Amino acid sequence: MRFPAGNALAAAVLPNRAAVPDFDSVYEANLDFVWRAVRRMGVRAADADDVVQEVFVIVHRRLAEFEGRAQIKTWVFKILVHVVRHYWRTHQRKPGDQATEEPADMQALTADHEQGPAATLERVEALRILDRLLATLDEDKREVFVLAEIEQMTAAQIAEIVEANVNTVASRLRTARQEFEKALLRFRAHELRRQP
Amino acid sequence: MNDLGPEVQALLEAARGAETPTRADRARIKHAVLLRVATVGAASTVAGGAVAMTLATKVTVAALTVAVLGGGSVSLWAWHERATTPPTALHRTAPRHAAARVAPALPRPVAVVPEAPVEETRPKAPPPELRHRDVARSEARPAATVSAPAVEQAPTPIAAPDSLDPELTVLRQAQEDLRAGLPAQTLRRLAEYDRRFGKGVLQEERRAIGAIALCQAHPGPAAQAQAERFLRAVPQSPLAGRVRSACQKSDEAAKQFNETESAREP
Repeated sequence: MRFPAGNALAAAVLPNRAAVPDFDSVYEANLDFVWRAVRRMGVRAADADDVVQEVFVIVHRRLAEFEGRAQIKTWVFKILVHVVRHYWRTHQRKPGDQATEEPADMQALTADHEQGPAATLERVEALRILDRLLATLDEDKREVFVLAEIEQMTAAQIAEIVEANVNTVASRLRTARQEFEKALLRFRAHELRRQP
Repeated sequence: MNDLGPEVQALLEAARGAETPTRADRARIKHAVLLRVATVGAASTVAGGAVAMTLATKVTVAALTVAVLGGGSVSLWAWHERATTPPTALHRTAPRHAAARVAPALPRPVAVVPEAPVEETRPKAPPPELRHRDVARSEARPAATVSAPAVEQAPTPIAAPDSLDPELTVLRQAQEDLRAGLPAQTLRRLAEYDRRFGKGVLQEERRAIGAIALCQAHPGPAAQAQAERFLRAVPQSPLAGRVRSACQKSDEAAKQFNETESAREP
């Protein structure tokens, strides 16, 4: 039995690295979408703060390794997806188990502060319905749906984040849209039945 | 690429602009993140002058590297602390319940906290400005804050976040097997890790241990290739030196073996 002689490891080269952004700018640029996405991906309101923190702790410690091959937002979102999946596993719950009764936090709806309480209430109600409908999707479809329809990422970006190929992403998204539409119809029918 | 109905579109539109964190939220979360980073960074430096941490920001890696790849007393210290220290509020801020959300915003934004220096050899409290900010925060939002008193009183170093515990446990077992000279068992543990966590958060650490185990169990081109892939992917990893060293030794052993075999041939 023979092994190749020579130490190939010595030839391992450092990749060309782009300038690593500083944590402050990454935090400021990405907190909004991490904050939003954590909730839409099924993390309970009471746990959202911890999950957001954990995402940025990992961002902080891994930032030096960011090689600029992807957009920083994609990179952060990839970390977010891992943390949220871990959350689901450790909490023994699926995104569909989310307590949809949790009302959207009105204080968080800062975008509506200048539009008055009526607009804020409307948006709270829309989020409540949205979360309930998202809860009907399984983990894979929910991830893809949130990334595509709320965060408006491209199929290629999503494929990189969820570590699937583009065709798989497209297929999941197509199915997720159909299921979401059906869930909305069921929801409306249910609402009608509840009315006197 | 959108063929959704108008009502779905309206729901999605509501979600896109919704739930922007307030200025207080931004400051609070950043503060908590930097506190965790700084505190764990301090813990790792206490544990090991011997542990060559290149970044004080290595949060989980600090605990894991020390525990998994570090020397005996170092690892015992870190894991003893982890096992015996009850969780404190240093890890986290209070849940954002309703009372917290209606509290007044922080009067001023939080500045960047300097990273923990690596040359210290004793446990230390968080930097003074951190403590100052925490006090300010507790004054501003008494209902929402549980961490301020703990920060003032507790120089106790904190290890990795709780939610990484299952991953850490498996990797720790893998490393114990490796240290016991059971690389095949180590590889089985890592297969268990893959099965349970997929591409988990501690993937870098998993790959490092895997490369070392493979170099020990089956030295040769495949092991070398795996080590090379690791070194190319994360050349600045604090574990890179150990992977390089372990696989160099196995490479040299393989070379020596080849030479012996050649000498025996007629």
